[in-house]
Amino acid sequence: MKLIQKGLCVLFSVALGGSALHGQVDPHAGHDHAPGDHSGHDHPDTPTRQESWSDGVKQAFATLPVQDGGRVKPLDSLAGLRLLTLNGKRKLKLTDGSKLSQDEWLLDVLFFPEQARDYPCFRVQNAAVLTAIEVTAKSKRDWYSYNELIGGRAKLASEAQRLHSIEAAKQTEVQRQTLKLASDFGTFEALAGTLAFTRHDYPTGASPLLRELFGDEQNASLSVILSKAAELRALTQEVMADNAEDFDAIQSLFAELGVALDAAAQGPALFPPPAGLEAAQSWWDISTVVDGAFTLEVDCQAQIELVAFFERLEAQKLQPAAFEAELVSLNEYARELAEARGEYGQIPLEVKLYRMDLFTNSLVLFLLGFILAAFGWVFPRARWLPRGVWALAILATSAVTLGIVLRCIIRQRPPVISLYDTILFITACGVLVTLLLEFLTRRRVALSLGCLFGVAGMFLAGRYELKEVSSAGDTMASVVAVLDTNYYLAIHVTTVTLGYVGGLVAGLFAHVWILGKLFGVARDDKSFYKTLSRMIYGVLCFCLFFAIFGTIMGGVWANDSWGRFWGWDPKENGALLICLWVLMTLHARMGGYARDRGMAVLAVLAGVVVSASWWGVNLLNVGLHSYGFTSGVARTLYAFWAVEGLVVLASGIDWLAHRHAEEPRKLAVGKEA
Amino acid sequence: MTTQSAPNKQPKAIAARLLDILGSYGLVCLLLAALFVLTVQGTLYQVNHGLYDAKKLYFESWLIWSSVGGVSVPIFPGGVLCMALLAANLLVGGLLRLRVGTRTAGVLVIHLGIIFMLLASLVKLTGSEEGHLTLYEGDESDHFTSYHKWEVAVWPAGGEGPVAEFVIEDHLLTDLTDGATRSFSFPGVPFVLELSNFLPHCDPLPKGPAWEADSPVLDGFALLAREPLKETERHTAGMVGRVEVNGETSAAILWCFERYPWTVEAEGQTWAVSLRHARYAMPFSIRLDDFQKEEHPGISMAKSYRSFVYRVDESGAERILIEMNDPLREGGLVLFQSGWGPQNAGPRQRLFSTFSVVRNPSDKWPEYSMWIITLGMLMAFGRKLFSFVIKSTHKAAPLTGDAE
Repeated sequence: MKLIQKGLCVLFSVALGGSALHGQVDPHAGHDHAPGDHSGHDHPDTPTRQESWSDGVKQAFATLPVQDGGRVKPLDSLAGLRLLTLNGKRKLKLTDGSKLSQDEWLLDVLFFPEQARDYPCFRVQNAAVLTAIEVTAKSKRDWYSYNELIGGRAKLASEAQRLHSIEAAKQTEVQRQTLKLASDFGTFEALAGTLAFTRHDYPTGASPLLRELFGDEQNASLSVILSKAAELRALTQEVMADNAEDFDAIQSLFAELGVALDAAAQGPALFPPPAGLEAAQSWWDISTVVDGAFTLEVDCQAQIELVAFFERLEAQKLQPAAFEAELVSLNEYARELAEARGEYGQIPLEVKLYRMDLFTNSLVLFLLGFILAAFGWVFPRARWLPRGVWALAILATSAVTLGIVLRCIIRQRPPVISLYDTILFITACGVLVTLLLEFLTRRRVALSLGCLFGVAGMFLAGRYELKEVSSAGDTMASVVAVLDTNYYLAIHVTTVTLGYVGGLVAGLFAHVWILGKLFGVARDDKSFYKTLSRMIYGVLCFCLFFAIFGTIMGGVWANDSWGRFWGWDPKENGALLICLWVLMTLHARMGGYARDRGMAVLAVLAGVVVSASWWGVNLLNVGLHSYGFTSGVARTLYAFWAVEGLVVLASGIDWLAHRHAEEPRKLAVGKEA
Repeated sequence: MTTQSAPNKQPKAIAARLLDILGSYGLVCLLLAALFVLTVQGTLYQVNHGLYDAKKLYFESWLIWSSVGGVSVPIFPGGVLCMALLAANLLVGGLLRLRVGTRTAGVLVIHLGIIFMLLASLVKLTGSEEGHLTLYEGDESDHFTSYHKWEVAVWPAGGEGPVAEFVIEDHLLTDLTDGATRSFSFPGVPFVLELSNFLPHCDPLPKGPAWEADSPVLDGFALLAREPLKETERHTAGMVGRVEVNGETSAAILWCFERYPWTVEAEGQTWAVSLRHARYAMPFSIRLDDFQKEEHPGISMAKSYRSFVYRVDESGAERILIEMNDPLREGGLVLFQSGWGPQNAGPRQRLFSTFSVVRNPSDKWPEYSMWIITLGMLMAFGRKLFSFVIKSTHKAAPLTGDAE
């Protein structure tokens, strides 16, 4: 498409004596201004929204299809992802305390950009970023509006340009956040300028030939101009030679087109390509529509009709009923176009997925379950409490599982592709394993731990979602070429991740064993600790089975993708470390070198090894698994390791204090290997 | 790994004691711990030194050496030693001395699978060749090129059609450092080639006063050693070649990126001498017909890339598709789609496609071992799980309060 754009530029460059369509001299060059603020030819009034967006508007808007990040998704998802990137949340809190949903926010950004520029949607986590761009900070961490930051726009741009030359691994936290703010600024401007073409006047009354073509009005809309693109093109060639008046008028018209399209550049791709271009995978943004209308032989009528829809919406935005009716019509029209390409199928499902907010709800349910479980320890004879915990745990796990399944259906992929997916999958499977153990042991320990695991997992998922959206733009992002195989993704990645589950759950049970001994819980109940030890052992076997199968299966995949079974790549080594550690633990048990306490300590450390494999190796930024690289989690990881180190140390001290009371070490004589 | 025999008051023979140690749980725990440490160290080492050096130092070595007071001493077992001992431990403790029965059948199968996998690693380590084949659309080649290994080739220059080459292999070149020289003679070649001053990563530069040469100065040029790179496949090696013809000695710098080979006139024949990455012949030719790259819509991330090639041999040419995750396995070789370029190519510019090429006799063995190990684990852990479930359902009792 960029070629077409270039072709159009060349065409008009020649036709108009060297003035290309794009790259017009910006009358505001050198000044800080927002895209679309070309007030000389924009509609002068900047109205604000008088009423809340109706449910009908929000529903029709949410299910509008748009292509973003390599896939077609609902506008609702785009709104949510963009707001999450900028604001850190899917809801926006305004200065008066009221809140906007993601769709309301994007509706305002698109149709009332002046109003949206006052919304405090930019989250700045370190005031030093603002100091660097010479903007006064409100506090160390705060939210700012576009208009509050606009004074530092030029400085931010130059600072970002400088920082891009610094290797990512060597950037400081402030530098990274400065780059993010620059990126967020660009994101907002791109969205705010998306419909700038509907607020722009295109002069068509300045020459007789143009009036003949477009009528006596002084200005025409973009859709009208595009609908007569062929005639205008012919006219351009005709007047080029000897008609100065008409030539100047046409040049002015195209200059205005260029200004409007520059403002809309980088906006989302809202236009499915024409029917004659089914093979074209990429949807069009407005500038491509203009290029297509002027240069392609295919019929762009449907795209021009979409342009007209947006123009009518802009014209009726202060008349809620008319606006809603127009938006519903647009929705139906866009839906038909997307369906004709087979790209609408998952849109309603994706809207439902985000509307249900399954993952946040599951976190709440897990938390309630854990609180109820805690009451169960205080009131052990209250039989309804564990039943309630069971119900909440099952409900929460079902919610997470449903979310994972819906994501699989939407992407047409197995459950685990990105790091974010691993968190969801590990949480769901980990809780299922603990519930199974609770079902078998009926000790209430696994039940409580399952809820705790769920809380930790879903909290982590919520935190990491923001990070993944900021870096990849989506939690259902497109996959790199090497991952484009559902067979290996389904088998290798899920089994290795199940291995992680085993290591983490075993570590969790081991904490109860160690801390229970340390604080004298159930001191006289030997069967309690015996059951815990059996569960630790069983879950470690579970971990070993999946870790070994998944790791070797990964080697088989690597043998098909990269030509070697094993390459000592950090991610491969991470998986191997889990296998080696658990093998060593189980052999130490068989050899009599580790008894119950030793197994508990080794299981805690198995959790550490899993965390290193899961997150740690991704921080190294070396190896072939570059699609899994991440950053910004090191501090959390080190903190986790430090806590686990303290647990192990505490267990060592406890053992020294009570070693005589514990059973003497025995050699496993005459037992099986 | 093994059972310890019942207490025996008779002193054991040394061989029996060694076997006890070799097949013991203690040894397997130590070896697994050593491999764990090696893996951690080798992984961290890659960050600053690259994968190739990490592999050589930690995973493909018998011992890890360190300088203590100027003396080189082994400080830790290397990966090869650990895995060799692990294989011996598995053989003695995990197979030979294991009591065979229904309880141990799964473990036995697991151990068999692991031994098979270690054997596959050994075959790969000692008997495989790997490199790459880079072709522009329309180009054809019957050999692939090593990423890391070097060779010096000598052949009669000026002839047409295929010529026989004499090749000096990598292991005869890379130790020619610190003044070491080695002479080579070839049947039918009327001179002896003496090689020296091998530098794994260097540049030939005009010798000036500002830098010390790392090789003799020849025609005003000398080799300047460069810091090793993490990506050793990007190294540019160089060395010095010297010949004596009719009592006259001539010498030249051999550098892997030289535009033309060094030529030597002897007995009316011109001979070419060149240092280059090692080449391996293939039993067929590959001609790149078409390279295709598909991106995800609207973004510049590659969705897939694939090459349509012709495999050409005496029987004719066959059109074949090679793409990510779907290599060509033919004649003991495996060709994988691994890269493409130029990255900034224009719309009508000819593209090249790079294939990783591996000749590995144990290509599929790890996969077979995986299924064996999985079967063993299903047997072993399945039995334990079954027994755990049975016991738990019979003995389940609440920690506190009433039973549920």
